[in-house]
Amino acid sequence: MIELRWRLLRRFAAAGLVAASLAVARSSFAAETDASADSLRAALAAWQEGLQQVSTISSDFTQEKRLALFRDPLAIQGRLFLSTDGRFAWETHSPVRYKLVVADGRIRQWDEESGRVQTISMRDNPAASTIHSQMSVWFSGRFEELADTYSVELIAEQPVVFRFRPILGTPAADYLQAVEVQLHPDGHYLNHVRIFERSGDQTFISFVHTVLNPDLPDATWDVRRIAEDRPAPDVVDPPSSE
Amino acid sequence: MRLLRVLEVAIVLLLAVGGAWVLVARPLDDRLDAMLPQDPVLLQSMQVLDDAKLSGRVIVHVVAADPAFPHAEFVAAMDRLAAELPSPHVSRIVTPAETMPTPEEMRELVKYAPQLLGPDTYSALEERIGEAGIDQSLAAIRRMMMSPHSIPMTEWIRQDPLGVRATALQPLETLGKATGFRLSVVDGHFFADDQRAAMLILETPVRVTDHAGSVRLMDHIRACLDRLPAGLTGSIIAAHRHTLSNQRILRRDIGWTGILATLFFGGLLWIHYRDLRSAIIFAIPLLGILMGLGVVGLTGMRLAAVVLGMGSVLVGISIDYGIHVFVALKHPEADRSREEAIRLIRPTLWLSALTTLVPVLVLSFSAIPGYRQLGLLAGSSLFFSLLLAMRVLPAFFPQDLKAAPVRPVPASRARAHSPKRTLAIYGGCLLMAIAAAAGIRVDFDLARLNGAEADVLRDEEAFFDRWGAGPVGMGIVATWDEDPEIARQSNDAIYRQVSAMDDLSGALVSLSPAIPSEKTRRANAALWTGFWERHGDAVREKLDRLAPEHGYAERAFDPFFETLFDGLDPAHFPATNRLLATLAQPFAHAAEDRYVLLSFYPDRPAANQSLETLHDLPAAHALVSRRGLQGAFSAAVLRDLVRQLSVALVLVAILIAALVRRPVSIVLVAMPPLAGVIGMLAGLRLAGQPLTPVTLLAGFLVAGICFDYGLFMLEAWRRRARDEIGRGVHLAWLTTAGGASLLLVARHPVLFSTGLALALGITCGYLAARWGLPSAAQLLRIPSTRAGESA
Repeated sequence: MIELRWRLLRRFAAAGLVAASLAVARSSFAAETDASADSLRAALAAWQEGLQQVSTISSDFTQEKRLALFRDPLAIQGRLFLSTDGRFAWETHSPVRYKLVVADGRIRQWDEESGRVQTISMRDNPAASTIHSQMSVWFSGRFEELADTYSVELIAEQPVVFRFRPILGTPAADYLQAVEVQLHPDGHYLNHVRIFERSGDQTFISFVHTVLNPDLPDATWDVRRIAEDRPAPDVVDPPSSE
Repeated sequence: MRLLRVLEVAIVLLLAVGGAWVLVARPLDDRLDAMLPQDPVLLQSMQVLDDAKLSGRVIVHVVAADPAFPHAEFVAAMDRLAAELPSPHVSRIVTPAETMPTPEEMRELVKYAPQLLGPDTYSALEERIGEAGIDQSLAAIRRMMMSPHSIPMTEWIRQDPLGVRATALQPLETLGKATGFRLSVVDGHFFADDQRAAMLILETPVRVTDHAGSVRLMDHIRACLDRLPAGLTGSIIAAHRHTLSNQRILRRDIGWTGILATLFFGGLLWIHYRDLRSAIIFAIPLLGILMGLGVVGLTGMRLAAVVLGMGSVLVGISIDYGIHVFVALKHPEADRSREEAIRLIRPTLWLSALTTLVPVLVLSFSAIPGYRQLGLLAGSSLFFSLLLAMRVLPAFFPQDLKAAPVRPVPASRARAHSPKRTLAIYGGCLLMAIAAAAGIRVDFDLARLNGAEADVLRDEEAFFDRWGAGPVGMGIVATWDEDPEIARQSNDAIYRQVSAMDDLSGALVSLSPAIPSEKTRRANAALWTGFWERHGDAVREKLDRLAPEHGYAERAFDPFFETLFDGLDPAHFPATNRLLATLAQPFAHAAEDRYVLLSFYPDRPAANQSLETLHDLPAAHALVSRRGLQGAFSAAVLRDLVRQLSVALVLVAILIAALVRRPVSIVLVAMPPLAGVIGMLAGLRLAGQPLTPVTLLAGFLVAGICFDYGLFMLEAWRRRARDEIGRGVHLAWLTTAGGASLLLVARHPVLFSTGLALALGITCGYLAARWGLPSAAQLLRIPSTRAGESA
């Protein structure tokens, strides 16, 4: 029954995101004033330029979910890997061991409890596909891929913080209020991502030990192989902006 | 007299023009329905299949010959194909994506879940709301929320932590997969299990019987398939291909047999008589058939192409009268006037015509439209040919006819002829034929009427081998009423009864669990209310106690309880929800005067037997088993043919008894048809051909034609005119068997088997008439007197 609900809920999310990609007309990123538009463009350009030479990324993360569903924030540690050839891997080490690998148009996921590998196509699970592509955008700076579904503004310059808002009418706007992305002081990669949901829930992801252009072994894309755990880094809570 | 003559000519012209109009102006009926009995059970089954609109769908089948063909390229090619196919001829492409709901649709459906949960789900629900069940759910939710794509799920989780409402939506998944094929949904397309083939299911407004529309539809799809990349090949699986193929074959056969018949009959008559007047013999049946078509036109029937395809056979039969009249006029045994020559032969001609006309006209009362048409066309053509022969031919001969010289029988032939030996050979052959005929296989398979070309059948075989039988392998339970609510209640009752059957539980694919009747929804809503009124407080207590142990917030699941009694009003149900409407399409149809609901089950004999026990349904219902249809068809055809045959035999027997009178003569006359029918059956068996409704019909014609041979040979014996009349019978056999043999070049199975059966049967009957009958007459000392001689 849990699997059934999971399957149905995935379809719900998937359908919404598919509809979003079909329904929304192209729009350029919004800017409040001409001056802020120039700053935004400059900041985006700097971000993109900084990542031009990057072909692979690995980073530890700590994810904190503040959900009305739970009494205390959920804390998840793990590691992610990304390659500009389209491959993406997301491992969690604590409190559950779980791995998701996106490669060759397929999503494969494994969790320690079931021990099973589930394979689904990206087309048949647009929710996961969209989240993967958003992650890819944040790490690769290819934000033009989100231009149809999000507006972006620069809300801080030191450090650089972008705020992505789903365009009204898109299914993502149904549950997302905004996504804030804070870059590392050198402007090359992410420091934090904060996701604000319409329900009031928030997810905060902090990236540490980020390595640009690491040599990623084949085991990285093996959904059953999780790298050795590392000590969980301290979570640095950025200033709340919502 | 002159007025009568004018009237005769006027009727001939009127009917001939009418017949020409039927041929030229009215489209032929290419459907195979003309060969199906108008049996109420069969008609109802065909109506259900029509309601299911299964024949209106087109499948585009794409195969990668090389197993290493890149999957991504395959998917891209299918995407392009799906984008190119929509056109005025293709109204919809059925895709897996159609069954993916939008968030709004899911919210709407989930709200009304209490109306969908039936009584059999509550025992599992009780387990889920137990301590262990709730604990398990809470742990699973926590794990789920760790995954990166859990963000959109929070609202759902809080409203349905135990997955209760989600359970109600499970039937929607089953409906979405109810195609009957072995397939997987991969990358938005239907793929076969081996991933080397994919298909698109198209809906088209083009009816299967629309020839021009079918041509345009096929051309459009083929043009799209031609643009597939190298390594992929496409084919089309559609009833439209069968229709077009049947039509092509029939028209080709009609054309070819027409040309060959003209050459054959014209050449034969010229070789035999070297007389230009013999051309009239050929013209008579053509005019007779044209007039027969005029009669068919008067009835308003749309002529079946298969019936017209038997034209060469009709010419071969009808031409006999002209031949006999020609013989009587060209080779009289004594000097006489042409009127006297006609008068002498008229009784035999009429008797001969009647023995053929009676069984043929009895067909006009058959329950099978094609047989009725054949009976009417053949009967009227024969009748007109007879009249034309007697009225037109004499005009081309002098008033006074000279006797034909008697050709003495060579002594060697006289000595060699031994009637006892001849009869012994006849008897021995008959016994062997009976033995051979006893083992003939009977095959009333509907597919035998299908003249589809080899490539059509090959594509279908390859498709069904790979994907399974699909809808073809599924039986249908249909229920209908003018009131949709009554039809739905009946559908619900069917689902409940079948679910309780051991061998069919879970096997019936029905709309009932997803879109039940208002009555059922009301009952389900009452069950839900009662259940939660009993257990709601206890579940809240358990959640309040267990949830904190898993780290949940104090009011985490308040939304569940706040919305627990939402969606209970049966008057409000999202019947127009896009997802439901899409999933319901194969199952629910609004016809003119009724609302039809279909359910599908595995078409097996045991399943059919179980479903016969359905009872106490509020609406009419029918079971359509495709496999059972064959049995129903066979039984209906047999019933009809046995009825026709019995009536025909009785009438012919009465006729012969009344006109021939002498019992011995009756026995003699019966020899050729007996030999003909048994010989036909034996010949078919030796040729590896089964007995089919078509060859059974040919047996009618064989019996009628061979009676003619018997009558004329008996007359030849009595008048000691074996040579003259015998030559006429010989030529009659040549033309009829020759005309039938021309059908052996036909590619359509109905025409081919008709030609084979007739050629075999008529030949055996002829041999019996030509040699067996005279030998028997001699042994029985039947009186024989030549004109001018004393008896």
